[in-house]
Amino acid sequence: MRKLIIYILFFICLFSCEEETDWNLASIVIPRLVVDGMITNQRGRQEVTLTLPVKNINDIPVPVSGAFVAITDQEKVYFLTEIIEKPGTYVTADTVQGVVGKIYTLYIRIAEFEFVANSYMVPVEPLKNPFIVPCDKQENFYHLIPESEGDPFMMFIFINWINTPFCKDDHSCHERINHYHLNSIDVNEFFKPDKEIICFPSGSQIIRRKFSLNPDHQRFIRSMLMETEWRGGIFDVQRGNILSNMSPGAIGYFAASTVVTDTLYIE
Amino acid sequence: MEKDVTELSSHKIFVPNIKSIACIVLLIVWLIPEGFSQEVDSLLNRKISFTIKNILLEEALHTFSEKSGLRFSYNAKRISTDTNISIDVENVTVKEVLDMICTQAGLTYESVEKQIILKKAKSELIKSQIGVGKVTLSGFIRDADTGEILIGAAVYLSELETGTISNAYGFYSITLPQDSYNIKISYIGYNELNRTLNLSSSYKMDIQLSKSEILMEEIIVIPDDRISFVGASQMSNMDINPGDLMQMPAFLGEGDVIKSLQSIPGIQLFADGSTMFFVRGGDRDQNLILLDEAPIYNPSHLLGLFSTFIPDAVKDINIYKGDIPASYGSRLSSLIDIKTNDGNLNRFSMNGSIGMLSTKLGIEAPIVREKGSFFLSGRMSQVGWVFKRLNDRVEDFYFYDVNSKLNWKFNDRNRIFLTFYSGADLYSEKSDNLNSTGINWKNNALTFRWNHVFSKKLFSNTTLYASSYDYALYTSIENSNFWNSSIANLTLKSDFSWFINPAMTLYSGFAFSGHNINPGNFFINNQLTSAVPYVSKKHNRESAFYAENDHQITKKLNIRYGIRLSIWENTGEAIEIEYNQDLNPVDSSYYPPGKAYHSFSNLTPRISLSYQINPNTALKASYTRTAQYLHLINNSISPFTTLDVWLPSGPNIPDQTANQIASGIIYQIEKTGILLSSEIYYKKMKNQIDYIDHAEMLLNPFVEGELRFGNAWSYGLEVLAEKKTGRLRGWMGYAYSRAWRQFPDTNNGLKYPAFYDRPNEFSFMLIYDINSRVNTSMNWYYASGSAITTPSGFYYFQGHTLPLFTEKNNDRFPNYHRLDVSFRFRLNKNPHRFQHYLGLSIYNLYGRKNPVFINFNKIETETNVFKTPGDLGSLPNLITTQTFIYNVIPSINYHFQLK
Repeated sequence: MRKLIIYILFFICLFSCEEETDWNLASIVIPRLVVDGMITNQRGRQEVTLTLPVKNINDIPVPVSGAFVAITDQEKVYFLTEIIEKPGTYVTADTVQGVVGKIYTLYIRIAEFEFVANSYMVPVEPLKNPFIVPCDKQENFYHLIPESEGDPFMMFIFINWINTPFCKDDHSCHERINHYHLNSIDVNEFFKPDKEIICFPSGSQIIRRKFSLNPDHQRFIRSMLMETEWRGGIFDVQRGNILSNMSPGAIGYFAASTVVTDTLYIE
Repeated sequence: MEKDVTELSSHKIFVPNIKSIACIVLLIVWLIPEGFSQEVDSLLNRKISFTIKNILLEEALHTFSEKSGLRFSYNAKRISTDTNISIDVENVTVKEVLDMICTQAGLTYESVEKQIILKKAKSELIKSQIGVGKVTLSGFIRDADTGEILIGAAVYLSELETGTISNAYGFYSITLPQDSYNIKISYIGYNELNRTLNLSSSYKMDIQLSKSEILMEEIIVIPDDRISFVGASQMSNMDINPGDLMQMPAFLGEGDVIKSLQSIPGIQLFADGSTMFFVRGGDRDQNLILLDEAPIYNPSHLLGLFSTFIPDAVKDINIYKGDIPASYGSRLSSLIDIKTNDGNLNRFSMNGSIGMLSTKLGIEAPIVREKGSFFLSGRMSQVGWVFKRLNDRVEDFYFYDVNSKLNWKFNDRNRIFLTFYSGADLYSEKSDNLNSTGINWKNNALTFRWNHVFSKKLFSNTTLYASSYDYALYTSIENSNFWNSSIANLTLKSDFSWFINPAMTLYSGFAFSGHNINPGNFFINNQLTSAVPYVSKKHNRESAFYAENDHQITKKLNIRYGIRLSIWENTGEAIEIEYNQDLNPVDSSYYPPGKAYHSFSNLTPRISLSYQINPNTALKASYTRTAQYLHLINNSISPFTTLDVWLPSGPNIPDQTANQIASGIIYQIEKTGILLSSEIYYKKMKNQIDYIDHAEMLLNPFVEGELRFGNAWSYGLEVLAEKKTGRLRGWMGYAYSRAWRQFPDTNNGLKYPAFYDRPNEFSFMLIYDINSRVNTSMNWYYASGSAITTPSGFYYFQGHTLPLFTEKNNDRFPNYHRLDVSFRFRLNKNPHRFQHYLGLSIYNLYGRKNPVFINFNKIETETNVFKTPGDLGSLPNLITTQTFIYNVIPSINYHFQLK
């Protein structure tokens, strides 16, 4: 359907349309705590990162150190400690594992301020085989078309080709793709703008982590996509702040998800 | 009873009755004293002492004339000279004495050259109409060449300094005392017609006006527009001549009714590429667009790049920005009343054009000469042909419009009109899974109208119309899988115009409507599917009754007051959701077919006043209350037509109301044809709709829970200079306006500017006839940028860069401006019936890039294409981009007419 738009714009614009522009935002310092946390059913270190918003686009986020962070499941309390090498990142012990049926509460205290969020996990469906298709004009390079059916989920796809002869620079030979499948129907999703296609060479390693989404988490993801991947098409909707399950004063999301993971190698 | 009427002079051939002329036009003139040489003004200011006691007017005037040196002139047939006059004054001005005489005799006067012309005072004239000797002059006003009825043509009686204008069906009626009158009939673009009639009984006079020829010299021909200028209290109204529309610069040469509204102060188009517009701070769904009475819900083609109306098929475009007549309701902010051609009653004619976008052809002809005719016009795009060759996946890509009209005059009292309109867009392409996907929307309208003249003073029009708008998004055309929303109505209405006397016309009527709405559901194999939630259809009944009186109270004061009662009922079959205080759904109710379960009613009064300060200046003021029960539910910020969903007022959506007051001044620069007007207004609107952040609008049975309700208000100053005639014509306008909204649940409850809050707006549209074969036109539009929401900061989450907003509509697009020019050449030197033209136009002459979107989430790829980032492993280097629609766009088109 986007071809319709492309054709119409081609027809009417005489090759005009989108260009880079300078835009002076009326940015201000917004006193909010940004929380990015998750507990999964995979036994290991569960992670929460705390940062502050930035004034300008592409500014480096400022981590929030020295916070007291804990996750409870109404029976046990898991304390998180800050990783010295990664300020603002707090982790549990590596034996923590979430389960379906429990409600998890994230508790954060910074100075006299306290923030909480609740979440619960639902089962995730097994991974399905992805489509791997050749990239245009790039011999031996491919891109991945993730699955898009079944229950709502999000998938983090880590691609690494450092150990292939195609890698010229270690820093540019690994990518991360976030992929989402929701059961909502939105016009701006249907007519979303083109997304950068990540091409990787044969021999690449692909790690897929598929997370379940409970209904509230799904609403959060939908809200986030409205302002990111789905923003910039021709049927944009009113802008708005992204949902959060954090108590007032904090933004972001604390999620509880079940996860399935696999690793693929591109031959 | 009409045989005693004699038409004395006109452009037509008449047989004058000399005796009548002599009798009626007898003027008695005193020339006392001889050698009169002083100016009237100096005589009037001279002081005298004057005494008369109980003597007849005729003798009093004679005596006064001797004393004052004034000469008097009056029509003895019209002024009663048997009134007794008594005056006893010392050392007062002649003028004061004259005023006393006139007051006692019920006269007015005016000085013309060296004479005092005495006339019966207006109040006396009106009184005389109550008594014996009333006659009614009525009929239809038509184009002499085609037989098309002329809407808004002026009939002016100079003796009474009053008149009337023809209504939407060309009918006029005026009731007068038995007398002889000089009657002027005028209409812009037509030769003025003068007739002298001796009206001793009611008379039906159909009038045919001939079009004025193209002027080679700058000779100003100003139609006598004093009726519409002086008599009408109508405010906030503008009429666009479709002929001028054809000559205005247009995108790809396609003259566009809706796009042309942008140059009118107080009307703002959404953005480039849109047919959505906002009027005086009202939202986009608050404009009622009527095509021969039937509402058109989405007048757009190619997502909104063009409007659906074929300019060649349009006869009249009347725009009300406020002060909407009581005969119309159902929208808060404006009325765009479009009337189509009836069809040539005299001979076959046709027109057509070929442009870069579409081809048009229109034909019209009498079925039986002077009795009935038809009009048929069609437009078909040719963009599909281009796109199919650009990409073999494209299966269909087109839009079309068909306008047709049939009219039949049974007799002098009965005439019927049948109008049909259909327009549609379709795009389809083959998808990867061998299915075809596509979008399709269509508007249909069918109108049957019956004009009936009950008497020379009572005219009626009864209309039965149906219109619909249907939108489908196909996921598989082969399997008939699609999302569909629609709205349709069926209405019966009757309007009555009772021309009581020249000073009073009463309009009344009623309307009964049914509205059916499908807010959007998904169909698989053409069957409603249970795989996705069902959104209940809505059925509604609407009744409306109105009365409005147009009253010329004095020569200078006109008042129009009316009231409309509308009753809205929600009926089954429907499922209504009940929400708690947090707007979460808690229950639902099922209502069987036909059961009325909720209703609204609104009394919406309106009043407007016009006070004429002098023959060229009038002050106007109006108050209008309006109500609306149908709402476009759409949180899109795109200028393009998106998946439209309409919902009615009901248990969860309150009715909307608006109150608007306006005041203005209108000034006609004498003998130039230039009309200057200025208006200020304040409008307050209740129960306006906004949405929660990222509301779920499609396939959501709980969509009403996503809506928030609040108030809006707007105010502004509009200035307009119009020149409708002459070689140079057009208009210039400026508007300062503000539009605010305030919702308890939006923007922390604080007021915020509406998207269409664009404080400064300036425009001009000029057409210049270089010679009889070439004309040029120019259109420039400037407006402050629309209010938009931009981030106040950003934060990062799982690799995404997310915006953080602190205030709604805290920023603005850059100021908008655009210049368009066009030239039109008539290709044949000596046209008779056949004329053909070549049009050249350049849209956006200086290539202004007016953005319609600003985004902060794109990266630029190696191929210089802007995309959302795919790799979220590290922070992407996001850039800010703007999207604009039009660059410099030249175009050429060919147009022909066979008259």
